[in-house]
Amino acid sequence: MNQKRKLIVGGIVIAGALTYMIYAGVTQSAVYFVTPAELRAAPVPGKAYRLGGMVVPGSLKWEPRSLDLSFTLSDGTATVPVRHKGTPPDLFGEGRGAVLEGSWTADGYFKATLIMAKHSEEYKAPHDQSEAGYRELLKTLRGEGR
Amino acid sequence: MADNWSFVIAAYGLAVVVLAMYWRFLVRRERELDDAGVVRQQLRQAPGVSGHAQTEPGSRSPLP
Amino acid sequence: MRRLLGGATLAGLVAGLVMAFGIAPREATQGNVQRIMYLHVPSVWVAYLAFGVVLVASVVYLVRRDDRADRLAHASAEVGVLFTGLTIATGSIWGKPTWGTWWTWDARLTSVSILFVMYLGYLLLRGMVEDRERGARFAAVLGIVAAFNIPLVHFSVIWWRTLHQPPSLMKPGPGAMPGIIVAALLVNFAAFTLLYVYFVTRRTVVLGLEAEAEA
Repeated sequence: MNQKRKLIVGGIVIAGALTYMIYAGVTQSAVYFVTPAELRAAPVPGKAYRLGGMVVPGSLKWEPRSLDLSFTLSDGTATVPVRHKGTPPDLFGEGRGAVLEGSWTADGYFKATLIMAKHSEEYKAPHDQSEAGYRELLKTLRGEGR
Repeated sequence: MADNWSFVIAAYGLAVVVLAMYWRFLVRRERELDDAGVVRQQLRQAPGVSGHAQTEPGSRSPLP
Repeated sequence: MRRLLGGATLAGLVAGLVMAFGIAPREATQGNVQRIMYLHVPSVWVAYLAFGVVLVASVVYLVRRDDRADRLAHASAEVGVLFTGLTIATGSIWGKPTWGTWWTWDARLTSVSILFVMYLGYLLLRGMVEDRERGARFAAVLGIVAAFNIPLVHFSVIWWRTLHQPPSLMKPGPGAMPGIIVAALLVNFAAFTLLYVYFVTRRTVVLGLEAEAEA
């Protein structure tokens, strides 16, 4: 009987976890991030967003002493200026994809609280210098597949 | 580019530990059940030898 | 026979490690942390394979009511859960240095968690129903229903916007990976497949002995 109770508790825990994950899946993962163009179309100051795009080459400024990071995020159509305080992940860099968590400010920039680097599906041997196509990466960022 | 070897070691170490543990579980469980099976068979073949319930080591279900 | 399978599995795993650490180059963008891929991707392949076997064995059980099919489904689900857990753990360990986060609720990570919890529930259900035959029947139905998650997990990165990158191996057109990385992956695929077969056969035998002991 005790064994059975344990199983029933386990069942409830699992059902609860499933419900939560499906809820989180529907509300969060269906539109995991918005693109700069979508944010630009209807920006709400103070609202929390996940913003995904490419770091525009030449736009990245990094102050190692104050940990002030600023760059421009683009989806090929629109751009959004971004500011952040902290160390970005290893894979973060110009011409690479990134997904940011943060909010749009009334001052007209995106204040990122978390920077996540989006990896492309391209893998390269050290001597293989061919850069992953910018357009290709943008496509995977938008989740358009191929 | 940092190589993050510690993360690589953590991932492979975890895999080795988990897989080895599962393997050990399978080996032990099988041996345990095999022993119990042998005991049951012996009891069935020679009921006179052990007239009363014996608790053999490794026997999962002692006779009622 | 089992000795042979065990030996081949061990040899395969060693070859896989040699490929992953000795032969495959240091990846240019990520550095050596990319080597986790040789563990992560074969693990999820085994999970897909295992749950696919659960699906087939469950159908066979419902049609023929053969206890051996039921035991195969049970064993395969258990091994599948093990490898799904391993996939999630290794992915998380890789994600921290490369993405900058251990976890995020994107479609791939969410769907794989649902897959994991569903089959965990499947294993739990097997222990919950007292009547063995009824339990097996319920489990078979769940084993079929839960299989719908497999394509959801795999194609989530194509159907939705995710942080997780899309598959590299099945990408049509020019290869997204150098041949040597593909080769290292394939060796590990083979080794993990052998490991799957080895685990499932042994687990099926154990389940058979358990059923015998209960009878």
